[in-house]
Amino acid sequence: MLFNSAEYLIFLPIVILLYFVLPVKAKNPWLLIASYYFYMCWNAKYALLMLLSTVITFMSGIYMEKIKEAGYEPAREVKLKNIVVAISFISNLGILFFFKYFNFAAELVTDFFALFNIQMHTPSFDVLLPVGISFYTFQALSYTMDIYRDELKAEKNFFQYALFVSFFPQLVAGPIERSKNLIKQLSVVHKFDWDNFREGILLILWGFFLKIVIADRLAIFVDAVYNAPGYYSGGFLIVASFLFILQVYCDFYGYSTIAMGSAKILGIQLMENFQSPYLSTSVAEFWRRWHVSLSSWFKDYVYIPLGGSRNGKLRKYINLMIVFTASGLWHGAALTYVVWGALNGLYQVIGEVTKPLRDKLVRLLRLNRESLGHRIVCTIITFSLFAFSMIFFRAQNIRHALQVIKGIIYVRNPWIFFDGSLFLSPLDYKLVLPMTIFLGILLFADVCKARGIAIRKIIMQQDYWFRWLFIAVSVAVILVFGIWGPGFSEANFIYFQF
Amino acid sequence: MHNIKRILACVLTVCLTLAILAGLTQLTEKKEGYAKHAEFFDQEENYDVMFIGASPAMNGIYPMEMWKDYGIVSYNMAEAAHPLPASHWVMRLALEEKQPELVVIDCFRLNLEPKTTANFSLMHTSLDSFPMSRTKVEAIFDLLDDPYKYEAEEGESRGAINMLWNFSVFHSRWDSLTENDFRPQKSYGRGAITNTGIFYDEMEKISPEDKLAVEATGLEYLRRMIEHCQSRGIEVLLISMPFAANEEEQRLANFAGDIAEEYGLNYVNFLQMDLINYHTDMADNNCHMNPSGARKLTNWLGEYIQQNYDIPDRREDSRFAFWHEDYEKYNLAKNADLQARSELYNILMLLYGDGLDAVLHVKDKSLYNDSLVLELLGALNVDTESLNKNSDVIIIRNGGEQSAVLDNVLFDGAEHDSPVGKILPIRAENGAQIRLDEDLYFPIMEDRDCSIAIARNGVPVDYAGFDYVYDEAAGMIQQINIVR
Repeated sequence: MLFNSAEYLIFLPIVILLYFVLPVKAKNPWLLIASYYFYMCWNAKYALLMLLSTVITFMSGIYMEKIKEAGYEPAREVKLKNIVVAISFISNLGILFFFKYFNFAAELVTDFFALFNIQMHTPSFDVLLPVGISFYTFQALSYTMDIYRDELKAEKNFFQYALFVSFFPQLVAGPIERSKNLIKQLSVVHKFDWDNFREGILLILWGFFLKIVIADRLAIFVDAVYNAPGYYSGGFLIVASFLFILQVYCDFYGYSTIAMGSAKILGIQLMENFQSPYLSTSVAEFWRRWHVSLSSWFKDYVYIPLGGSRNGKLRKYINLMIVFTASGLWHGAALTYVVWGALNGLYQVIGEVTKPLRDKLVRLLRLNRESLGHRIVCTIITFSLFAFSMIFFRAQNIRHALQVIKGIIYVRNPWIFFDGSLFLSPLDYKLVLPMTIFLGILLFADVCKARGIAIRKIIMQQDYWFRWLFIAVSVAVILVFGIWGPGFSEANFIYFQF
Repeated sequence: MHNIKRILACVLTVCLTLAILAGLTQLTEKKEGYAKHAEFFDQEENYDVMFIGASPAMNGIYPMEMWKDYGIVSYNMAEAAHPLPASHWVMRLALEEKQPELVVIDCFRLNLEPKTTANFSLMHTSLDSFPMSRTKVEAIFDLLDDPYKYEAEEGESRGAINMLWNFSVFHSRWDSLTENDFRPQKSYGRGAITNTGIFYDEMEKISPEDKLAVEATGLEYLRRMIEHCQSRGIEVLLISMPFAANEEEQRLANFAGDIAEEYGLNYVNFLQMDLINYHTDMADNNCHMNPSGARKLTNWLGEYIQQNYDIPDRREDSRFAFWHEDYEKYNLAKNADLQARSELYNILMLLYGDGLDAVLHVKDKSLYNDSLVLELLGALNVDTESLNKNSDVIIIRNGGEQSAVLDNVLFDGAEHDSPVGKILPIRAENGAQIRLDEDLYFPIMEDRDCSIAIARNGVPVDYAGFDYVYDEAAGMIQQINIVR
């Protein structure tokens, strides 16, 4: 069940209505049933995997709590806790590895031995990738880690914990919630709140706008160009590459916003996954604003345990490369994702290495880093660097990515921007004006967000007639300009595959 | 109290949203259905006769011509590519709006199993303009419940929701909205759609006794239509529209007579009649008649209905006075169709039976070697046997009711007597002209291989010159250009 499907638009109101109508004791069980139903709409069997992951991490929490309460000597307590954490991590990551990375690893091994003319036969499994496995696995592991670090008490109620792992709004594509944030909220009884309701509706509308009006429309051009790089080259590929990162942003940001809105109506505040990332003036800043729940997960549970920046510069660079390569791998079992992650790590390492030089240059040239012009240039550079890395993210394989890069570098056809041929392609000239307006709205919203201006709050403070009209017109704009209905299959959210 | 206010606010927001969406639904939907059906819904008075069928009937029966000649108030509810089950539902929906005295049903392809067409969007053209009703919902669910349905094209959805709320299909038309979407034009053809073109076809008739009895979904729904009409006291006439039918199609048409007999109905099998000239009266090779064929059939059918059913002549009925005005608007549409034609063949074909006067000037007499031109002129009552290298001018009056051929015309102002009245060829300042009826002038383009000037009710409608070469091997002219 996708957020942009008719099923979800029926499912969500039913879930919300019954949640608030049911007696207190039945509220969370109802949410749990609804969440499992939501997940089982894709593949009922794979709900067992999620259940298995839930049982393992729940039990690990219980055992660690018991170990703490047993009053062992500190060394022994740590040792026992380590064993429990190891079991939890190995089994969870094992499941993830089998379903997501086994075939990829087997292929790599085969290819490696093939380099030495050694024929290897590695088995491969024809398994479907369970939807959202990377998301709920990481969420469940964060719970194990938080208990291990004594940052959280183990949840005693299995069903409460199962709801934390499977909570439907953020189940299949995040945000990857922290146990500290979500378990606490789920244990509280939520009453219907009009402000939450209104804010939730506005968030859902904004999410739909981003997803079906912008992302899915951009996808038509991007797909056409990327699927035929031999036909479209030079300027087409440059435009498609820039539009692709806007597409991914609107797609994922849209999903996260619908998730936030759905949860908000139920009275639950999910974390913001995007903080106007394309306004970032450096790659490091970008990664603090992009897919915040994943970036902070890697920071808290990988980068810092690896030593972070505490053990010297070289170690910090290595840690950065490890974290970003792992992050790339998290996105998909393919070399393209590994290269994409590593490239983003490399950007940051280069940024760190060249920082003294850049600082010196700024001093020498008496540049004002806070000036608008400087910030805009830095933003454009950051945006372009990310767009370049995303060629690997979008390409079907490394060869395809290199073909795209070659097409950008060697084919120069700037006339397509002037003779109208850009608009003879799938980028219909009729779309240019509305898409410019829509992207302008997105930019405006991002700038406001970056400046701490909450547009939602402003809308909610307006007179009733304006609020009614705003919602009615928003629905109309989304339905008219959005891509939905016959002729267009419900486009999957890009991040579902991860 | 506060909560009630808020609930009320939610309800009002939903209502406002629905109101906006209702407006957008109307704006974005395709307007073909509106153009075809607007007059059906607009007219407060009843229709006496309703025609039901697929595209052969839609292209082949002209209610406005039937009105002009017989005063019959009828509507053509036949729809393109509608098998009998789909036609059945169109009829049921139409009968919810109007109660005719007679329903004429074309038994086209009663052996078909699928309930709808492969081109599913045509279902929108027919059903979308009907208001929401229980019958409409029933129709949609029945038509979609079809074990023989055609495979949907990639990305095409044929769900009930798409039929019940067409905004889900047409919302993406925002980038192709035209003036017609904001100010939808209706046609004045009372549901008939003109199909202009000439396809030279042939048909070999078989014996009327040679029948192919079938049991199929199409036949089942034909029976349903008959029974539904009879249950409501509406008379039914079954027909089989003419087209160059193959043997199986003719055998099926012959079998339809048995169905008519079973229910005690009249049956007109046009496939067994010599009314239509398949050389000149078909628009394409897909069972569709052109206006020439349609006018022949309409005229015959109008007379048949008048003689066999108690259908009143409404031409003097003041309640239907607006039909006379609409007929004038309908003529304007016909004029526009004529003016849009670029082939001499089509222009000659369009003259048939339409009350037009025309003067054809022929400089290059190789035109008379073209057998299709001769057939078209023959249909216009021109004595083609008499055409020779001296035949310069052909005059056609009142859509071919009368004609005359003038030889060796000098445009010297000498008056000619002819079966069509006095003819005066003159040479004025702006070139040669033919004068009819004292004050009706037809210009001649002497520098063209041939030219034609056309008038309706004494008002010039079209004027065109043609150049051509005669292709001896094909026995036809190859038109090079047209000048207007």
